[in-house]
Amino acid sequence: MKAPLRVALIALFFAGCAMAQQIQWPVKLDKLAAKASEVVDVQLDKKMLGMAGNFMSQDDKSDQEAHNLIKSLNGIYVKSFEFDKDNQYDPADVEEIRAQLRSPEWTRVVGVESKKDNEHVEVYIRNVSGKISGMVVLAQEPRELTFVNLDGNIDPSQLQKLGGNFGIPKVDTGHKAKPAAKPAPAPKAVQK
Amino acid sequence: MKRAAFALGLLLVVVVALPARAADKEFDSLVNALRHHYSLPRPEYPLRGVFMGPMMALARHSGGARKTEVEVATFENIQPGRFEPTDFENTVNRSLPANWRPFVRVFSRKDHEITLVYMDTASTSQRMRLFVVTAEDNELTLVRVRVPDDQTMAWVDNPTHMAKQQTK
Repeated sequence: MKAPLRVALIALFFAGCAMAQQIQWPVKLDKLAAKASEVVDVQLDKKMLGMAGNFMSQDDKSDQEAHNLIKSLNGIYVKSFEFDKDNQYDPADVEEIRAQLRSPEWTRVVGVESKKDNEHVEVYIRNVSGKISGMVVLAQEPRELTFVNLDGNIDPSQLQKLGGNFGIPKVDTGHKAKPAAKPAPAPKAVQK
Repeated sequence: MKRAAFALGLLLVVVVALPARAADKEFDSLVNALRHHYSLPRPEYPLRGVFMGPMMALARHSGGARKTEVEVATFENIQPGRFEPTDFENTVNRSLPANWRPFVRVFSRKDHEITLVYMDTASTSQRMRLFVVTAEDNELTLVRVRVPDDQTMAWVDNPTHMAKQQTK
């Protein structure tokens, strides 16, 4: 996960958008695990998020912020596949996910395509009654496929705090015009 | 008199340690399942033993919400790549009660690493319980932990790293 995804997330941040309904992960994409050199799969449903939230410290400010953030979420789902060789997955397979995101409540807010690096990143948000209730990030690279699904309501201003936690890529808002030096850590880096 | 005091002390240690051993059935069950399924050698229990066992049991009884309660088992000298990811995961899933739900799965073929992290969703205690099973290089490590409340976020965020800290 390199610059395009970060750009997408920054754009999403400034667009004042954010979050998602449960998207069904195509079974055929799970078969990619057999070809992948590395697979990361994070699944935290509402019950697990609730339990983690209940056990957080009442004294720690950052824990309180995290608790406030996750209590409005129904789930956090991250899947990432890394391959040793190019083109190990069929882009058409990803189409099954994209098809679910074509319903009226979903809007594609960011689409970044880098022909140089052959990278493709999309960010979708789900809007229900004026509230953002879901977000999906889909990042395709020749040797990597990443899917992030945040299901539930979230305040866009809290998006940055969620980045870097629970296997979600870190969001760089770029507020202070920092050089775009370090790429955001991929989910695998968070888990290792 | 000295003998009586010694006997009383010994009895106290046994009484304190026994409930802990009973609670470890769940842990031992997974250790034994993996051991038998893969014909592994006898595991090491770094936190058990004549001295560490009673000390850990006493720590459990005296521990507040900020103390880590941890159980560790390690299998060493395992041939790298011994565990096929799907079979390994199925074996672990079969051996753990249903209240343990997986929330992180990491499979790295290039590094021969598998990490599975489970959360106890039926925990009635005041603290979160996690099970971290890691196979890497020539070692298989099982860590079950009752997480201190001020470390909950760190464990949910990076359970593998936190589990490794416990085995050092």
